[in-house]
Amino acid sequence: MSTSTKNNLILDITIFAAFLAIASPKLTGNTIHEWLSLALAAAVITHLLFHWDWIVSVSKKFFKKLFHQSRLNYVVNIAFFLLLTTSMLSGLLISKSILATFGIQINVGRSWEMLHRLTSDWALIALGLHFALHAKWLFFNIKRYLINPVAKGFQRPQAQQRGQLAVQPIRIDEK
Amino acid sequence: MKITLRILTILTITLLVAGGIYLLIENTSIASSLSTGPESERSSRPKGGEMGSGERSEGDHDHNQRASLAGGLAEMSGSIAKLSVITTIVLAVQFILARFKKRATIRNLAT
Repeated sequence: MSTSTKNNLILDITIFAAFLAIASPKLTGNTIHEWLSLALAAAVITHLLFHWDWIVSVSKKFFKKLFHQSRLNYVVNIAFFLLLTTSMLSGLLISKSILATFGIQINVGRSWEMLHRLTSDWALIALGLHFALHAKWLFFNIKRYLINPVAKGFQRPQAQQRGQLAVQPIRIDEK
Repeated sequence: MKITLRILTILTITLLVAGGIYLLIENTSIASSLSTGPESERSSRPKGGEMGSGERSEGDHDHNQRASLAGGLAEMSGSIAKLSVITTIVLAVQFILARFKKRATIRNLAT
């Protein structure tokens, strides 16, 4: 899947924002929390598709070189994937809105609720590690695609003013 | 076609992982150990009337909550604070490691 850095950045920021909203069910309420989590699953699949080549290449050479940054990334990503899957599975099993929409009624034990809380907390930590390991890329591209264009937008009027000032002496000379 | 296959691969792996976790939780002692903590004892206590072991009452646990701006913002701030702390620690460790590597390289070049 051919993707640009800009698309990657937009998707990553969207996933990050969605994750923060999902991690605060008091803010969204239970219904939005559940449906947004389902949407996050789709976004995570897209994220994995965007990075498919990296996943395949690191999986192939995982055991060849022991100490490497990509290896640490890989382990963190697998842990994050497992935690997210467990969190979503347990969330789905204890959900009220999603299962009710499809007319499904499951009577599961309280342990799934505890597991949901536990894995959600750990998933947040895994997200922190995932974010931190890609922080340089993120900060660089946020500056490149978000901060710099906005800053340039503010600089344009000043440049025009400078241009006008530079033309004025020539007009005086012509007179 | 290629992308469809990739999506199917991801979904298959996810389903296998989810199925494995489900079987693990339902068939081992993890479920009982998770639900025997002090918090679960508190939360599983029925509010009036008798309840079955796997039965869930309405409104007695905080997953069944309604939206509240102040509480939600506090929760989100907590998440952001946790993420900031983790990021700072990881970046600091990376910075220190990079410095050590740089020193080692300079030493190697000097000798």
